[in-house]
Amino acid sequence: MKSFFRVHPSINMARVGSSEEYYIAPETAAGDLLDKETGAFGGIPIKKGTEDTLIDSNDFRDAEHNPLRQAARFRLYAYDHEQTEYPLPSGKQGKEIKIGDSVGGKIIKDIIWTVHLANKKNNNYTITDTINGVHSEYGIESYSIPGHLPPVRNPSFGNDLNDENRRKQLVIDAGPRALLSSTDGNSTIPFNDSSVPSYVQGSKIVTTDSYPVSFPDDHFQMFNPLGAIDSLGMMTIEAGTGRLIVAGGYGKASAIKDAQGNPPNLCDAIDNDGWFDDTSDGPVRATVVFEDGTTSEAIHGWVVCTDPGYAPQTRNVVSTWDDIYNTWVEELGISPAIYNNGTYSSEYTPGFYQDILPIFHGAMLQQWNTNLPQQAIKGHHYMASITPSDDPAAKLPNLKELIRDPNVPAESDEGVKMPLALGDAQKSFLSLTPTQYHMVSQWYEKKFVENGPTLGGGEKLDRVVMENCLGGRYSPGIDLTFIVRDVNLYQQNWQGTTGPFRINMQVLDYAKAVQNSPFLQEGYVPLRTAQVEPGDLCKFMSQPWHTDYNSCATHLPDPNPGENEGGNINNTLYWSWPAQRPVTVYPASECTYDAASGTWNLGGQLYSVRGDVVDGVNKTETPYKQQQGRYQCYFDYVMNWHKVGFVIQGSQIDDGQGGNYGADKFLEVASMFNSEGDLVTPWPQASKPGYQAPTDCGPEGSGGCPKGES
Amino acid sequence: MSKSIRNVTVLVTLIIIVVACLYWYQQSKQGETSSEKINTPPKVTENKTVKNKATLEQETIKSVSKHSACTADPNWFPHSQTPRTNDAAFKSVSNCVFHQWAWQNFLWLTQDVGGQPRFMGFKSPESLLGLESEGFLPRMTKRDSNGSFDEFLQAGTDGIFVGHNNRAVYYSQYLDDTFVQFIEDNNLTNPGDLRALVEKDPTTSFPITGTEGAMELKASWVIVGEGDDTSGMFTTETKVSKLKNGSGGIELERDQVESVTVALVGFHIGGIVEGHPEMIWATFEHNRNAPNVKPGMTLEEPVSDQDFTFYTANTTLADCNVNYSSSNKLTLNEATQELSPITQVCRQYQFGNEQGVNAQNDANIASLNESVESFFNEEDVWKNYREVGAIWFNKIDGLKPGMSLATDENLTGSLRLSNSTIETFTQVATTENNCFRCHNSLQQLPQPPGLKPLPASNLNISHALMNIYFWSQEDAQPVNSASGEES
Repeated sequence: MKSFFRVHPSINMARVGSSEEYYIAPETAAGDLLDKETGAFGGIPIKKGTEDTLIDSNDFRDAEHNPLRQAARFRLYAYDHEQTEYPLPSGKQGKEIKIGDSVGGKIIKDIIWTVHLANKKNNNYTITDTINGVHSEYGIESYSIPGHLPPVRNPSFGNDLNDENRRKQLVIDAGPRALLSSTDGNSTIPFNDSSVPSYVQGSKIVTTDSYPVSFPDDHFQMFNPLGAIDSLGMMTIEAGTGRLIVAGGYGKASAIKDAQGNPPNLCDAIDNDGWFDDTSDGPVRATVVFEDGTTSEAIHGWVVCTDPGYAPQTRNVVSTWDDIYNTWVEELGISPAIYNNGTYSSEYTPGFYQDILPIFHGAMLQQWNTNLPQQAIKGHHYMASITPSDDPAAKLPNLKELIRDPNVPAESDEGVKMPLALGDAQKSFLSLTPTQYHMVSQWYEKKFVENGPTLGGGEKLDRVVMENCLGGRYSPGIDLTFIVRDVNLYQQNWQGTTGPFRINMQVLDYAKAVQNSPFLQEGYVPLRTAQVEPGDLCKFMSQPWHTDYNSCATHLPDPNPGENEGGNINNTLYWSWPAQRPVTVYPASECTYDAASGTWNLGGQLYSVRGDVVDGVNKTETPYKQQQGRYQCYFDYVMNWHKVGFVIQGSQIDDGQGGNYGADKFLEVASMFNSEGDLVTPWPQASKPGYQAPTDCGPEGSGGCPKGES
Repeated sequence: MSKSIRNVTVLVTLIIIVVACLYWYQQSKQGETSSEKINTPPKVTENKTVKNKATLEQETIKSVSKHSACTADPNWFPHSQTPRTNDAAFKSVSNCVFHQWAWQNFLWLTQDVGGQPRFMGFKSPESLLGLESEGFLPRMTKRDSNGSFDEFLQAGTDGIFVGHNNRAVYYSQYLDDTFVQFIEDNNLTNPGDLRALVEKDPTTSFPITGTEGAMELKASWVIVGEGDDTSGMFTTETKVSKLKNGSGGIELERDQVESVTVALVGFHIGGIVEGHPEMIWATFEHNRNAPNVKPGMTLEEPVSDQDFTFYTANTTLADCNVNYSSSNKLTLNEATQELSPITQVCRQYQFGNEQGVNAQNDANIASLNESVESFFNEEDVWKNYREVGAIWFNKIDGLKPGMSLATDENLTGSLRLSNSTIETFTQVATTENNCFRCHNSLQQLPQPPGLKPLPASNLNISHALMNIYFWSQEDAQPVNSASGEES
């Protein structure tokens, strides 16, 4: 058969940073114990220009103390066999290729990488919606009701997302850029006005002045507190490997001024009309040019640029991978051995180290980003100590008593079961995915193998990247959201050359681009068949990302069990996304050195978002636990997001004594806050009545926030 | 006996049962669901014991209407002759009888027996494992975990409660003879035997032997020094383990003990009665411990303008019950054994209920506290202790294995019951705001990875037994391989 090519990972994550510098997205999974001897866990980003040298605590910020961006690294794989099953069997798992390699009897002359980044957040629907008179977050349910869609963002521009003016003014579109692999790191193309859009035509790169590149300042008088949003990042080639590097934006947030020159307020956790950020997403394409002049178009990948990775090694108990895989298992037939004809197989044998232990490790690692009490921490360590040789029932007398069953809706109200974190839209508490739960149940029935199938290099990248992202609770989330559970997001004909987990990309004919006429359409809408354009993934995230990040430390469950009349109202606060958004941390600076043993003792916890004391005031502080660990005004987080520290394994932290802090700890480093903030107390905390949100929140001139919002 | 007489007997018996049931139903409804406003002034009993302005302020809820007065049985007094409750004959006929059970046992347990309160002669959970020394000496074992005689961490929260003399508050546990006999008869200090027992019949419950139900107790003690006002407090000499700054924070230094005088400030009684295998969980406090938080009080408001043993006048609610254990702000001076900062304590719910919930329960406690106080001799130090509340199941024999008790569905009495000196830091959050949130019948997983869990069972309601189960496994482990957790 004819060889074909795929870009891997199928989706990769870039992350914003205010530095021009960058490191590479991790290519190992958080929660994976990589080395039993050293205790090294996965999830650590990679130093720029290296194959797999891990960053250390000094690599999160540049010389000016700006947090580095996380760039996404893409590789190109060649395959000789059409795919009929997942995962690919040994011998059919493809191999990474580069210039000069021979594939199918032809020598690769060059590879043209093409990336198109856009941000459509302001030309999309709101995340919150009103259904049956109740205003709330409904996730994909908002799109499942016939004749119903959520309200649009920025309704003052009209309610039709296909309206030309909306698309022209509200979409940030950097357009496509193409780059030869042979430039080998000597060329960097920014996604801004200073570079000319380019794309592939045949075996050549062509440039076009006609493409309608669009940034907010092209259309509006903008309020730019962190500088104008004039770039969505850059692309370059990794020297020596020919791989593509894509770095995203700088963490900026900007807003449209009104006729009086005032910016809009910033008072909602998710939907803030008039506010832009510089996150983005879009397709990553590779065109292989052979020495004989022929070309081959690879199966595309996709890059998403989102929030910073402040705790890259803390695994989410439910990751984006778990949601994606569950969707593919249940709806797209990727693994009939697990699920077939609407039923999970009681004969399926998951891999302990691939499918079971990461769940327990995820639970164990939460201690580094939350204020769990010792009893819970030790309980998690107990679960993480389970080995394949243990009798599951001897270690855990009753699985169902401990872990919430996602197939029983009432269990989402049961706060005593695990995972003990807030749930998805319209669910009080987090549940494993049905596929995860089935695998754990099979393990409990002693139907498992120690190691599952070994993935191919490309497949592993596909999985690892998504394992490092937040799943389960998409309200809306941090990396990606509920759309990952919609089969319409993907190319569903995965067998053959396409392979699984590929975004259902809209092929764009750039030759038809016309200056001053918006090129991108409304694009993908959940549960509908329109194909996916650049900007269609991140548009379902918070507008801007900063507000949701600031907000989502701890909350009451929503819906709150017991809130019905006569119920026992729950007042306990739980965590939203602690693996992705650390709530409390153990700063390395708080640890104490035991000279006798030459080891470091853990110090106290501080809130990750803890602010500075300026003129005797710390804008994060409040006695109300439900508001601690965040700025009381969203705009203050916009202005201070770059100060948040990063959590990394102690073995990556130089202790200045000739050693490190130890692999048994995951500590915060590189925080720029000068305050200790509010006192961290062990869980549980109660939400208490009486909190008065500030009404004079910035930005100046915005009029502040109505009472009760900030 | 003739057939007609037998019929009459049956009829009378049935009538008695029906009347009793009706009475019980009425009392239950009255005691457990009434939210009737309390508006009748109480009969004020002259108080001749130690009662300062602070204690007067405590009594924000008074005893109530004449038809519901819950009072002491005169036969409980004199205190030296209070009989133990007949737990086999216990009738769940009203809310009041549960509180009467609590008070009668508090009196019985605090009777002077051989120069010390009766409860101090009871065995501790550790002693059943052969680990006990004498008095308040800490256990001299290889185990790293904290023992029942010298606990300094509050259950579940890692919290160190620091008295206003900057010394840690200590805790001790005790078991009555019925509890001990049950353990010994079934060899339950052998973890394998306990596991086998609950696997065979997870509904096995703690017994009532004769008239005495199994009982477990927990006491809180503040170290007192010269000049401290201990009037009206029970004090005793003892030894406690010193604290040190260890690798895991503030830890016990087991080979360093200190002779101290301690005063009893809090007391838990958990006991089995007929129909209640879940135990009645009651708690008592010294009347000068802490102020009550008034309903509707905001965090910015001072809770009281008076000083208490564990509260400084005009401290705001926001600064009450602050647990410093997660921070680096709690410091220990090893030389002086002084901790800083001190804990400001406020009692969130005076009698263990939110405003408007189970008001009759709270009124019964207030009434009974007053009534009991009126019977005491002036010199009796125990006159200065009060029942804060009690909580139990609203169903007879309702305990089943695997109950999380995370909601109040099965509970009645003082639904938000905490002892401000024992559960200082968990009085408000719904996940830990009464005894049953933690005392449940779920499976128990060990803290150290090498130990075996215990399946769900009715016996899991007792943390004393759970401690025995896990400690006994730890002691079988090599030195330094265990790191148990107090519960």
